[in-house]
Amino acid sequence: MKKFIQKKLLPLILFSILTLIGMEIWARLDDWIRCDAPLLSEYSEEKMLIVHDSLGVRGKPNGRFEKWSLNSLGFRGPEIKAEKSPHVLRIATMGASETFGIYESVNKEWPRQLAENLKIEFPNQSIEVVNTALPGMTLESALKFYRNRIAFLRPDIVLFYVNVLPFLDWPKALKTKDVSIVTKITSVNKKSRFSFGKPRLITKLNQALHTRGPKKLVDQYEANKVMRRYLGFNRHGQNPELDSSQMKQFKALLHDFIDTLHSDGITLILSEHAHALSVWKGDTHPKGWLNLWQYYPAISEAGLKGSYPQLNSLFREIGAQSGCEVVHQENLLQAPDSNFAADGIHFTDKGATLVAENFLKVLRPILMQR
Amino acid sequence: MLAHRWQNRLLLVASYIFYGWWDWRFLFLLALSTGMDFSLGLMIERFQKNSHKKKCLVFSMILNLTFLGIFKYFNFFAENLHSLFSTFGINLPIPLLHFMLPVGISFYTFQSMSYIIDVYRGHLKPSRKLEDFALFVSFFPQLVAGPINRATDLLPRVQNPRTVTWDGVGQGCTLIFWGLFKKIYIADNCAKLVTEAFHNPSLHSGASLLVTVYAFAFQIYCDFSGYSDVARGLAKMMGFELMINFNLPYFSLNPTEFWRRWHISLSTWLKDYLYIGLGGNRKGVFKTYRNLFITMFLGGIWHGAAWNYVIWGSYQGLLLIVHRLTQPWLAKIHTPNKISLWSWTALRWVVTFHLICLGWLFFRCHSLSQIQIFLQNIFCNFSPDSETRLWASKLFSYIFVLLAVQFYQLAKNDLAFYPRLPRLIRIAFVSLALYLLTAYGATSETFIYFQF
Repeated sequence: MKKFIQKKLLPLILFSILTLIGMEIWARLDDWIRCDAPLLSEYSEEKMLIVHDSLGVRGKPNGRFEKWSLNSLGFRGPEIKAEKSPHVLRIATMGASETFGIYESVNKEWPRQLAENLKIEFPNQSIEVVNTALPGMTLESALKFYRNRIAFLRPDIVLFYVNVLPFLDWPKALKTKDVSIVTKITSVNKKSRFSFGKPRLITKLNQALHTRGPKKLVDQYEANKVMRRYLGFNRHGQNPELDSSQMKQFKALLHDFIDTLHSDGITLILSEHAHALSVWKGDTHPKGWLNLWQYYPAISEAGLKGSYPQLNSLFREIGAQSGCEVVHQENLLQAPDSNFAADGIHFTDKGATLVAENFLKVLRPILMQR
Repeated sequence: MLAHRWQNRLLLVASYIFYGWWDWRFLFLLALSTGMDFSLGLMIERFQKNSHKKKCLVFSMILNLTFLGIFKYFNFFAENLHSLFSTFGINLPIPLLHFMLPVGISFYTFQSMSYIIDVYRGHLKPSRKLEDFALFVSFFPQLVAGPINRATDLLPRVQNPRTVTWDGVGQGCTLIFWGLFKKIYIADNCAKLVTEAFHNPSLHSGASLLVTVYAFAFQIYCDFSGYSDVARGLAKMMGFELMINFNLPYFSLNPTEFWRRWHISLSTWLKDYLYIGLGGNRKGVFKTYRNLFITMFLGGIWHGAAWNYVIWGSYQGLLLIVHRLTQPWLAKIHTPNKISLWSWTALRWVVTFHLICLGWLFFRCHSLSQIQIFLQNIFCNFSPDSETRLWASKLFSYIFVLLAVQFYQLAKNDLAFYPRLPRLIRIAFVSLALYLLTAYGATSETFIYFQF
């Protein structure tokens, strides 16, 4: 027995420990090579995916963080050429995290699913769907973003799925400062006690578990994680309703946006904001509330539920006035016990499928006319 | 440790459970094929007259090929016959068979056939114990996708007591790990590139398509050789030694060498039982070429009942013929110094690799028009773009470990590279491979060769 321990077991344990250390080193080298991540300190998704330059915020060309990867133009999705070929019909999707894709599996965000649907439905047309969304994009920032980052792509059609939550939260910040694009992919990360950050291997294993692990195990793990976060969360009790000045500002911004795109000869399709909030009762969806409050701590349940219909009706009204098609999907995710929304407003793979199909319904007649 | 006899019984039950897990009904087919060949083997030995022995052999061949023909080729021939008659306006009502292809049928049928032929040729004494023979046919590590082991190699290992050693277990684990790495990290990731390109090749530039043809070359290699490694590793852990199925095939310098290194268990099977059976190279030049072509053509069809395999097999046959034809001329090429020798070797390697890749294109494409689009884009619209660069870098990231290992194996002329590595390099290698598997291992695709 002693011989077995000395000759076999101890070398095996030592080998395993050294292998784990080796894996951590490879993980760091990999992040450094692929994402230009620092070798010996913590790195965040904002560093990896977002660039601030003289024109504001944009996606980092070839940026990559965990499951998110951007192409050489800084957009999520496959590689495209900046210059549009004459026979290509280019559709740009604009929006925030719902459009960029947060909870969906890779290539399951709704713009990508829409692109696949279009490929099947219009096999003889060359249609490109460019997902120009960035997490945190607001109506206020959308116009600037369009001018600086999207117009050069010369899209024929723009699908606009705007995030209305910033109108409910941080209203002062919106008026005074251009903090319009804020990345919100982050989960709550506690600072590591180690100066070189927490072991990257754990993050990689976590991802592997999420993408390839047994579903039951993954769900249980997720539920535990959310409950831990929920219990330790400091909730605010504010209840800001939309006031008339906010509504006015919203209208003005949307009109500006529509006029600019129309003057560029672009077909603009607006979308109501889909959500699954009305099927929630109290804390029955702690994970959902938790995620929303994490980003918009001042929003109450009542305020949130009441404001969505208000803002969506504004979309319909302004869309009708300016001749834009509006995709009706406010209630799309609200089937009870459905699995369409991951946190009330962000989609699961299934939810994104519904949204893509809804956009396709509106796009179909437009594309058939072309 | 169980007694040898009980080890065999346990392995036999495990093998049947393994096969039945997929579809229990096909266990009867496996058992029937085993029982028939076992009996015919004994009869061949018992008969004194050669004509009687031959009848047993022919009966076994007909039986095995009928099973294979019904399950694998019937629908293909029926459909093609139907469309042939339809072109002349005749509606031939041929019924199609609506059942799945029994997994691994081509592998265990060939293994069983090799047993009967070897017994007939007097190379092997027939097995007197049904359970030994049944285990030889159904041994689970190699049952569904090979290697196709010869009865002369495997049967004695089944019949005689085996020793399980720590070294064997260690070597087995290494082989399994390396096989899984090849399958999950390299093959399944390459599969994603390949699927995207083959889905609609007209959307991609010729350069991008060429990258995906390379990707398929590595996908099929790592998929199949990965399985073979796992099979060999499992067998090794239990004291068996299965034959090496791949020996650095992409380092071949000509098509003949490629077939000595690729799917060795099948290519040697075809050589020993078909090519030599047809007369090999003993009956004149023309018949040698004819035999080569027939062997490779049938080797192509062995892979499946589809036109792409017919084209692929014929192409491989033609390659071997052309190589044989040009061999005297190639042998005369003089390389006076090291530089010219290296250049000449590099040129031969590049040409051979691309000829093999062209073969893989035929193998992977499902229609002639798809082949045409690939070739048209590669030769007339090559233009590398950002997608090409992205795909090429992805492909490189998938295969760089394999390339490093294989260059090392080639340089040392030793396939068992791992135990010879210095300890630190070994840890670096295992941790890198484990890391890549963990972080980037693709969700598993079915093994390509399961369909054969």
